[in-house]
Amino acid sequence: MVTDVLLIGTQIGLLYGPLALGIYLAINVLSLPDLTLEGSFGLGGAAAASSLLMGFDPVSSLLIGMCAGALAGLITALLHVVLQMNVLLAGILMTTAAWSVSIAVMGTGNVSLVRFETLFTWLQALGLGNQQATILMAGGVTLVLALLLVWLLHTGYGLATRATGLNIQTARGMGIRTEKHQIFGLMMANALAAASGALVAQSQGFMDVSIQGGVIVVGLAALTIGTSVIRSDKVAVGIGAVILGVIVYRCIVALSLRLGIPPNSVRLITALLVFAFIAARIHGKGTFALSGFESWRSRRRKHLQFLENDRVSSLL
Amino acid sequence: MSQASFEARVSAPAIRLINATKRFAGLGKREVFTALDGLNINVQRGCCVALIGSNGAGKSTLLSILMGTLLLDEGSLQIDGADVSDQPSWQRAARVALVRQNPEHNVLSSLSIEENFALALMGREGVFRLRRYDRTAVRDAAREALRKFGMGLEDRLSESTGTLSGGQRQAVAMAMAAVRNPRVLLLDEHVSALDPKRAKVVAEVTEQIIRAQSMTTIMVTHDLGHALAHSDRVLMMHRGRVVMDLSGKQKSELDLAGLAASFEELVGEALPDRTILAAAS
Repeated sequence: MVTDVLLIGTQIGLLYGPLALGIYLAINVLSLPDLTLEGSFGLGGAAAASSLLMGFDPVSSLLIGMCAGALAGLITALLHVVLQMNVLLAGILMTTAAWSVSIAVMGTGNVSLVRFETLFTWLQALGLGNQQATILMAGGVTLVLALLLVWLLHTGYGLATRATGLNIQTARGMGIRTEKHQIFGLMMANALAAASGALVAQSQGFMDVSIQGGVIVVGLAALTIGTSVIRSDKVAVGIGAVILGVIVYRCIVALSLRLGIPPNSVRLITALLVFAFIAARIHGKGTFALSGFESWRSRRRKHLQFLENDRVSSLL
Repeated sequence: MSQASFEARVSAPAIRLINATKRFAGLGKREVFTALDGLNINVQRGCCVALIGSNGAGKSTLLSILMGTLLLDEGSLQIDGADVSDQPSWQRAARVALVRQNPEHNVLSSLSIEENFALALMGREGVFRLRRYDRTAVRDAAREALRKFGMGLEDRLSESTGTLSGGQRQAVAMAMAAVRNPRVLLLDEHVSALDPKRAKVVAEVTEQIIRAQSMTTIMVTHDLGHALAHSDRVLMMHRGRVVMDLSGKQKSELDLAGLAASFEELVGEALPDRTILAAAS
């Protein structure tokens, strides 16, 4: 059963690998909590499915899906940079809009891709099983995109993007045009999320607009799990950590389904999982400490320190 | 560019502020705080200006205006003869560098010292290319600049700047400014957060750098002794205006006690005891 759970977790986790990369880029690198990623995931799936229906090959339809996501990211970034809107708010609006746009792109709420060639049927034609084909193809795409992201963030341009996410004033003082890096960064992040949507649509053989629902939480789970397990300032390590995080997350989901927890509870499990990892990261062993013990006292001090450092920030 | 306009630029002062005005909205709707009140200042090339004044006099606002993090409401600003009044800070970065009071705002923590220097060098050219920076060149430049501070930082280039103390970060910030070699260097009380020993080291190396590279410098300081000893010209601000402007013979004739006395007279506020003690001794 253990191998089974690990294989299913890896199989589905790797499909969400590019999404995890997008979340990492937006939240960890740019410090912009961009919820548009959820909309871009659906939009990427819809655009990829429609282009498959229009006769494009699977690779081109993946790239078309990524372009659709980049476009959504561009609009969010412009809402932030030009209309001075909070990224969180812009992302919520864009995700709401993306739902309708996805349906408009496909012309209907869901389309079947069963009779079409996909990235995964290519590998299956070589004699691989569905699971092996998915792991190989999704893993390959995730790896290529991850290496691309690592390379980009180590170039001079990428270094400026990282500086933008750390301190805008300091970065501008160094000659970095921060708004340009925010726009390009959000486009990249959303293109990555869209790549995940396109992969999921191609892998499951149909595209339904509802696949975007709640995927931002998958990405956040990947990020919290990944950064809780491995902590590092190094970009390559951080990127490896979020990919590991998304696989671990899907393994836990697969395990809980296998243990007989009803599928409707998966979202609850996800939320509890994120809480648990955050609690473990913030309080460490002190999470379960009893009153009066040394670890309880140090946890309490850390908590008071957090309250002292808390700041208000307005949404609008 | 024609020959005449080229010559005009070369002979132009490094910094020229014309009728510079900056206001901030107060708490009440009609309440307005005037931080800079029609300032006219010319600073010659290579000159080191000490800017003194009480809190709220407009010193930091003036530096922000020069850096471009704040834009003027009225008036204009020229740097090397070019009007930069409407230029954002990232466009000015090739010509102007600002070292802030808070060490955390001068370096990007969670990036290594080397990466900070790489950004400083790329910012000097104003281009951030889609390829890896030249590591050897960056490390050599960083090592050479950091060695002057004698803190051993030149051997820690791969370490994250987040692990450095405030004094070390200010040293890194000054070294970064040195490799950027800007025409205009702005120092906003850059040693005030450091302990006296470190402050002395950083201040002395700073002066070596600005003299060696003949940068036009404006340094804000609350230390009148430092202002007098390390500058070519002393400007005193009060309520958004320049109330005293001393250079050359006038400045060399003034001692610390005299400066402290005229500060109290012009600003109408008592100086901190520290300064008075220093003046008396």
